[in-house]
Amino acid sequence: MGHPCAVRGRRRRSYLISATAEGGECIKRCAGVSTGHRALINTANKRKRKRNTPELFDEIVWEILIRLPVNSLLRFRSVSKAWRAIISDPSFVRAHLHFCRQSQHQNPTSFLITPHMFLERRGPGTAKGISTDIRFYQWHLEEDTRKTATLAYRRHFPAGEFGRLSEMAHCDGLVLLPTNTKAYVFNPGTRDAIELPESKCNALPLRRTCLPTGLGFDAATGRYKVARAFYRPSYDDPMYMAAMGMEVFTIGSEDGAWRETLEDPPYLMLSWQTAAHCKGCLFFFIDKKNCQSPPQGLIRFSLQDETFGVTPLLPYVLPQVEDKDVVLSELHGELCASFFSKPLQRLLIWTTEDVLDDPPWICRYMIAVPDHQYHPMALHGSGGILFQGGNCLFYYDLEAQDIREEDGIHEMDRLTYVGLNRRDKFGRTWKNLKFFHLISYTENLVPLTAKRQGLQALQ
Amino acid sequence: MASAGSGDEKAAAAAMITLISSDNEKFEVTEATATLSQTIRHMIEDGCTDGGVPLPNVTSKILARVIEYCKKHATAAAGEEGSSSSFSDAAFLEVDRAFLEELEEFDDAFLEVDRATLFDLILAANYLDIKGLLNLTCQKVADSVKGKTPEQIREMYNIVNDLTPEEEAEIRRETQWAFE
Repeated sequence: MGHPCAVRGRRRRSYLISATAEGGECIKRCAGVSTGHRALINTANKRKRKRNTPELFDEIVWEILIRLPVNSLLRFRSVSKAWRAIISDPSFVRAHLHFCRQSQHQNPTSFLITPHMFLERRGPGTAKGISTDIRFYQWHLEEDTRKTATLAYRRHFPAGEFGRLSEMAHCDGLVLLPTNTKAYVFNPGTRDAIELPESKCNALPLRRTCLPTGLGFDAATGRYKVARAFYRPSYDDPMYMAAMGMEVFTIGSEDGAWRETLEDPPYLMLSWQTAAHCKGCLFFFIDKKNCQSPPQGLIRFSLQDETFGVTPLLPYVLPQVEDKDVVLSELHGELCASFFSKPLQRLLIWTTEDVLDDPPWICRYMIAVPDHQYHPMALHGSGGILFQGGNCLFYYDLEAQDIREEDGIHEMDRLTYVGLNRRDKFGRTWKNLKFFHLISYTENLVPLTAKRQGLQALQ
Repeated sequence: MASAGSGDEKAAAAAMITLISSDNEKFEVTEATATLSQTIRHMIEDGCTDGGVPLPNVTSKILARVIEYCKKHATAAAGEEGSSSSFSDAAFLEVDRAFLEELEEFDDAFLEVDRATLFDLILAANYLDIKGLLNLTCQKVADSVKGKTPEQIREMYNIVNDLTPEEEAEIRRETQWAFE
């Protein structure tokens, strides 16, 4: 096998393009071309001698490896030094993610289900706590796999480590779980997890609330960032929280600490919310009750320059939609706001390509659904929308304007949940289920820490 | 989309390109078929295909298969290119389902080759920059290796294990679960 350097010097196709770019000489050049090309001829000759056991070349290895699932790749690091070098190469990690994202984009079949459970009541009249046993089940909507979800990663936190959860957020295979104490980031594909440190700035006592938090990608540094707002202390009235600041945690950085941003959010943000992520920005709802004349918009936080702005939210929709009725998400690379219109008895799905100060919101779809508990998950290349409603994932056929008749409804509480050990082999049903969190999932090899040493996985 | 593609093909039917394999065999193909290869497309754009296009590292046996693939897919090409990432295209792309099914059957049959031929096809697809063929052939290999152990991979592809026992043990320790 060749040396890993050969792999780094990839994007080999450029030599052909540059050869033709030189006009008249191109045929001659193409016939002989550069060293990369000659290497191909040499290896082609070499191959002829051993027809029965073909060799793999670095560039083909790369093309094949980007099509493999993460667990195969983690295993194949031990094939040879060259394979280990390719699989650990950050540009390979990006190419692999890009490939997974493209496939999911065209044909969304990969999902991650997290069942959230209530704990048994400790006594009559006591509040139902939430289970600290966090599991991620991988679910493929292929014909032969869609009845089974397989445990990808499980982490059972000590009882009482957190009492309440905010919504989880997903970005490129990483999952953020904000709680009323700590926040966690998981990479279920690599079974990695980190616990984010506590805020040194937040003045509101822990457990009282869950701070507005979001996860996204900063294309300028190539890093994933978690941004979390915090309440500044108020010296006049310790019970009244008048101002917020923002902290950023860069995943995979050496320091592993929160860093306060230079700018503060322009308005208070609603607590118990997890931001939507789209085009390198996080979007938060405004805490309108505690603001004077707030705008009809979302607070936008750019992960690249760590500055704020306001993105108007459906300003021309009448009657004006209340923030609490809107579900924000990313749909096919665009910012999406969906809500249930009572007069129309339809789920309205709006998207905007431009997410900055003057977003051209367009109502893409109006879908007849029975109530407000539905939100879009993904667009399907064959002309459908996948959306979640309660414990079900629906495939809505846009042409037929209806749920697809065969295999249009997938009930998550009817799946067989297969665990890692024998006990779980025959699947399980969920007692005390609160809800299923469903994520349209792309695997990512990216490590969560500078050296791969996350929390120990519990098997 | 699909109808636009066949229209293009008709318009380009007159323009023929000659491809010359490493063993000097000549293949006449339509421009629509040839331009599935980005490499050849660039050469056509630069006007340097007169007298034929020599392909010194593709044998006639492999080139014949590649052309067979390109002919079949040429009509679908316009549709494939259109479905890049834009919102409306993906949602409203009108696809001829019967044709797609036929194409899938063709692809399945096309891949019924031995491992050496499959690799030659990958090399040719990579060299000629034919995205669809590269994807098809690499995915076939990926599907066949994904459940294998590192030992099986080394055996299948003549790879020498140059990792020290310590390095190998460390990789296993880091992600033991991936080996089970």
